[in-house]
Amino acid sequence: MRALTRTCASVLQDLRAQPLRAIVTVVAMLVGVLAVVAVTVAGAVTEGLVIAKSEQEVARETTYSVDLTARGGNSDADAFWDALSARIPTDHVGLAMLESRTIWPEPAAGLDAGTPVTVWVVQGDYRAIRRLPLLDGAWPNAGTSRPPVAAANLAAARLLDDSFTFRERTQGVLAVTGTVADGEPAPNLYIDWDVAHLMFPSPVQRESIRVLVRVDHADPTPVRRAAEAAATSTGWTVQAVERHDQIAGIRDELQLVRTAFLICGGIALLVAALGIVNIGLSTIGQRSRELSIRRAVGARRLDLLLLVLGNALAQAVLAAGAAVAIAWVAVAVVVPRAVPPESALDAPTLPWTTVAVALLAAGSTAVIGSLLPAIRAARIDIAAVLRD
Amino acid sequence: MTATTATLQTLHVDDVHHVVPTVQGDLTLLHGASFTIAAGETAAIMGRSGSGKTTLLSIVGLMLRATRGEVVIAGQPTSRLSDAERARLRNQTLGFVFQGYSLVPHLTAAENVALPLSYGPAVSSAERRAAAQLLEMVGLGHAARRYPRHLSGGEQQRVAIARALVRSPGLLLADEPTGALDVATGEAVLDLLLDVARARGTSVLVVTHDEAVAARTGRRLLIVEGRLSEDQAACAP
Repeated sequence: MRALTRTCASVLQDLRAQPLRAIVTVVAMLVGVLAVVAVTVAGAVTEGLVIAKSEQEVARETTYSVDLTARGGNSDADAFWDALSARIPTDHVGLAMLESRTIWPEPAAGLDAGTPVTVWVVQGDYRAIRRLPLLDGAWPNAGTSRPPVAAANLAAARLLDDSFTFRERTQGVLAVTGTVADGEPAPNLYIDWDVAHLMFPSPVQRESIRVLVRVDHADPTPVRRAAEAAATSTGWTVQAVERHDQIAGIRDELQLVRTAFLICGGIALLVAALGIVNIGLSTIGQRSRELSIRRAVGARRLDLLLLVLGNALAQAVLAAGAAVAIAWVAVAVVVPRAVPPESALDAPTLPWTTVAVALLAAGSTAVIGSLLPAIRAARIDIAAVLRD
Repeated sequence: MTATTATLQTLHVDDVHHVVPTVQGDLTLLHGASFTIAAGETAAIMGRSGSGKTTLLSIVGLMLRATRGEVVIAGQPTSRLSDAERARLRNQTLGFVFQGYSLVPHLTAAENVALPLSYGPAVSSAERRAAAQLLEMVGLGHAARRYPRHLSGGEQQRVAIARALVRSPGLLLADEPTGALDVATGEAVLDLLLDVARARGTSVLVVTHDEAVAARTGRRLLIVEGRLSEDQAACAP
């Protein structure tokens, strides 16, 4: 421990040896490290944002859509739902059935006559399928309250009063209980399946329904089996079970871009390492007498090796610290502006792995760049101190 | 060699040869040099440039390995020691004063004095305080935080003397210690070197071509074309 402390003290003293060169080395290293950190941070932040947006607008990861068509005239959506709920694998994390209707709020609500609003009739836990942050109020629960309640997206919330009359096939009143951010510009309302029964004589208009199932794995087989079994007993036919979310595709595309940029970052690091070799060899040449003196007063070859390596590593820590600080400021300032306010998504923060990536990139550059100078320092001719 | 003899003999050089290969064939720089320095003794090795005195000092200072022969320092034969063991011996048993500009430029005077403490066994805070006192002893307590570029040549050499003594070595090796100084400063530095060494019981071996410097030591060895001998003329009454 004492040896380590003494080596660290020597390394810190040694930073004073060539301050300008130390600064140049740190800057050279910073350029390369910053490139790698930027790729890492931009990749993580972009991934976080794009995926969050996709989860909001489409579905969370590993969500499957099950499309069904009615077989004959006695197909019952509620019966299918109950049958599927009983059969679905216990490891599912979200299950929802959707049906959309269009209503026309009365002009008295402040709307132009004929402005349509889409009502999403939801069975199950739809917010486990899509990222739908509540901006205020509450998500409409099942119940028999009068008037029926719905959650509005931002576009609908701007248009509608808290309670309004609408026209569909019949006239009704709907109360808005909460505002939800769904990332969509068109006005949407979300209403519970059971509540929809109060509003609409028959919620399911079409001869087809769609169920969304989110599981925690990428194998659709258990979902398909459960859906087919439930469909057979309730008069439906499974048309397709497909991956509904777009996360995997987004990840693949981002990974491709990230790899390309990482290669550029790696090249920048390599150039930095070559610069450090150049500066290091030149420095060792100029410090040969000093290094001989150190050997004369008792330094081992290993001590000089560690001195040069330690010096480079200390500079690497400075470069990594600067890179992380720049990345932190960039993320804190730039990223919040890139998140649309209406999305209500949290701006991604600097991932903690940035520190590890910066230290790893800077450390490996320092070691690669200073190894040759360190070996040359360790081999310095000690007797030269008497000849010069 | 008995233990008592080993203790009394700080340095024993026995039949040291040094040969270097050249394009014209092997060149012998030292022809069987042998001598002993007793504890507390001061001696000078005199010779012209190219006579082999720097090679001999390099071998005695464990900076260069002799082709043949043995150097015994404080009873410890050194010819078979590893590089790390030789570094340890240099650190703890030997002190060096070089010819000018031998301070580490980016370290303060105090840090230069303490430089040998950065290597070898760990030191106590008392030993660190002793390093500071050494700087006082050479009259540079006020310059502890100055860098070498702010010190005169004489002051730098005094710092070098303090550094050479910081591990309390048994033998101090000085290579032309006044070579880069004017006469008056050189004399003052030499006075300091010998006085401090005498006060601490440290043996001193000075390599010089300067008669005046050699005359200040108790014994003179002459080296001519790699052959070492006692300077009988100097020893004569």
